Amino acid sequence: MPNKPEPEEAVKELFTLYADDIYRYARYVLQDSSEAEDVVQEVFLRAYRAWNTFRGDANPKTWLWSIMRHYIQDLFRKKSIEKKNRSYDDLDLAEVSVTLETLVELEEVLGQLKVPLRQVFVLRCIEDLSVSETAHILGWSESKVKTTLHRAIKQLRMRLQVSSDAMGREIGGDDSRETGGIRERN
Amino acid sequence: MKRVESENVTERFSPLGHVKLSQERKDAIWQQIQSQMITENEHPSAQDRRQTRQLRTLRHHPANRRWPALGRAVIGLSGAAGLVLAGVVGVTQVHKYEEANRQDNLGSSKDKGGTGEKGRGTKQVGPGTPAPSTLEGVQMFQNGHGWITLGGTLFHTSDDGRHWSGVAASRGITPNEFQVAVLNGDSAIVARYAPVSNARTSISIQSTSDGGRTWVKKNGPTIDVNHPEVPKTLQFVDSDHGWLATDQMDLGMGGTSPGALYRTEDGGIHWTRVAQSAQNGPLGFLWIQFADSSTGFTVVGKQKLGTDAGVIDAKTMYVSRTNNGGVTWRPVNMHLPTAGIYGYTFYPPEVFGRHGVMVVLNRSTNQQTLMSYQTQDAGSTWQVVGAKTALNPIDTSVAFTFSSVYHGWLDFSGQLWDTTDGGRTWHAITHAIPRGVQSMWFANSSSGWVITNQNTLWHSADGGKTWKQTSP
Repeated sequence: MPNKPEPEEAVKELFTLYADDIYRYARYVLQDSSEAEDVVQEVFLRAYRAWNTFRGDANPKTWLWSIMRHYIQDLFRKKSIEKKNRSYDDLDLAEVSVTLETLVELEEVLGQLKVPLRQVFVLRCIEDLSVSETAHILGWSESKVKTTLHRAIKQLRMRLQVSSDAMGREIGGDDSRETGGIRERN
Repeated sequence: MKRVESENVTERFSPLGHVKLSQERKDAIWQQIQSQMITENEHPSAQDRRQTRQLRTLRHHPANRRWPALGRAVIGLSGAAGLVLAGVVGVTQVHKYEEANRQDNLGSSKDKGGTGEKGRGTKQVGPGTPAPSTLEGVQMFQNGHGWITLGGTLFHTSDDGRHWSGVAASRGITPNEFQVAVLNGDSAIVARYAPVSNARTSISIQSTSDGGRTWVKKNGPTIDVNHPEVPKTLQFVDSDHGWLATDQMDLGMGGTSPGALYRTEDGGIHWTRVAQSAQNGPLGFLWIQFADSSTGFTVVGKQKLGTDAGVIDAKTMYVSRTNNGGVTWRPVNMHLPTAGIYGYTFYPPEVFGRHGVMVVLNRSTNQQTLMSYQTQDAGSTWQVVGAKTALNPIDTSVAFTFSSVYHGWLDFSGQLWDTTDGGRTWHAITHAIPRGVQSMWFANSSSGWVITNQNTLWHSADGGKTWKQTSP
């Protein structure tokens, strides 16, 4: 039977495993990379403080996500988060096969969604969580997850369409320059 | 115009799933986290549960209150409150005054098997190493006899601390696996986790009346072998009436959650499971503090249902009271400020008859304030009577001891204070007090003891003005 690790040890392991996941979610939901870093720090500190109350009857990643969701809710409550000029430094693109411009554009499109739509899309389609896990984390019903995701995808589809059309006009309507990403630039 | 299919939407955004923190930023964030963890570890006021265990057992035993008559005579505040203080439960909570009249849904013994925690989605485990108890405490008596727990070992002295005998280890009581209730300078009761086999667990109860030289084994409470529990808090208000709060062990990540509350009315010969946290209801017994055989207090918080982990919703924490020995619990009436506050730490109250004192640390973004509450109706309602803001917002460690409802000492914000009016006003004594005080005890107005989070023992013979390190 595994003994419960000390909080410091546990949090270190959780940080190694999930810091990037937490960062991504916070970044896409908050639309701010530096705030996302703050969220990473706060989530793991809260996990450290709450470690003794963690019963372990669910995935620790889901537990961390729950902590993060509540913290982000607090952030939204305490201050209406203004859209800021986002910075895109500190990206590790070692495993990313698309260009930085494409990532930026994808984030911009995603950022146009309302927060609940962003949340559910990130969890389901970027973090690959199940409907059940997503519902658990967001505190929603599974049917709400499904319908909200449907709306998110529908809106993203429309926005991608607009983006594609705009690009088409920008480059003279030559759709042939588009690739599997959003677009390809010279 | 091209049509973007739904499936392609997901595919198109998949590159976002590869975005990561740079190693440099990750290292920087981890360093910040690590630094904060060390800080909180050194200042236990930030770690509620740990502090709860550290400060509880020895320091706040109602049977060992000293000089209540002196306190009343000196202050002459008839009807003013008693004092309380002590342990901690890390609690970010906003107590809604309106909520205070509802009945807690802490399951009573009648709930057993019904709404109790067991059987809920928690994974079951066999016995194993319990969560470490970091019980640290000191309790001295005017005849020069006393007890300390230091580094997980119980020590006894019969010469005012000049010599100490380590009594726990020699009796096979494994450090960090026991809780101690002190009855007097020579009598104590110990509850310890006692695994019987890989499939069975139990809690062993032993008592001594000769300073730990000999021990008498008593019956421990009957534990459901499928739901192992470990002792968390042990308290006796006299030689007959005692309570044992337990943590329930779980598998998976190996966490613990509040288990149940047991009561004995015959000195530990028989134990009854009188209450337990309801499966989907509030979690209680994070600490317990009984004033007499019927009146007691605990901190309760609602679980974050629908999420994982037994994490208590910080906004729902409140102090609850029983008037029937722990069978049923009801929130007390107390008003807490909410403006700008992001968290509270409740310390177990001490109630002397109808009067009592409780201390609450509230935290806002810019400052931390220790608030004193008094009761005049045996703890049903509490009124705030004083507040002290931390001089150093970083150093907010808290330790205190009260000898009566009026007279108390407080280590707060790196300074030693005392009060003679139940926390309405605090008078600075000195800055020269050891750092990281976790447990404090004044046997009289001149002789004081503290134990620090570095497992060091200090003594003052001049009312706390100067301190000298000693060792058991």
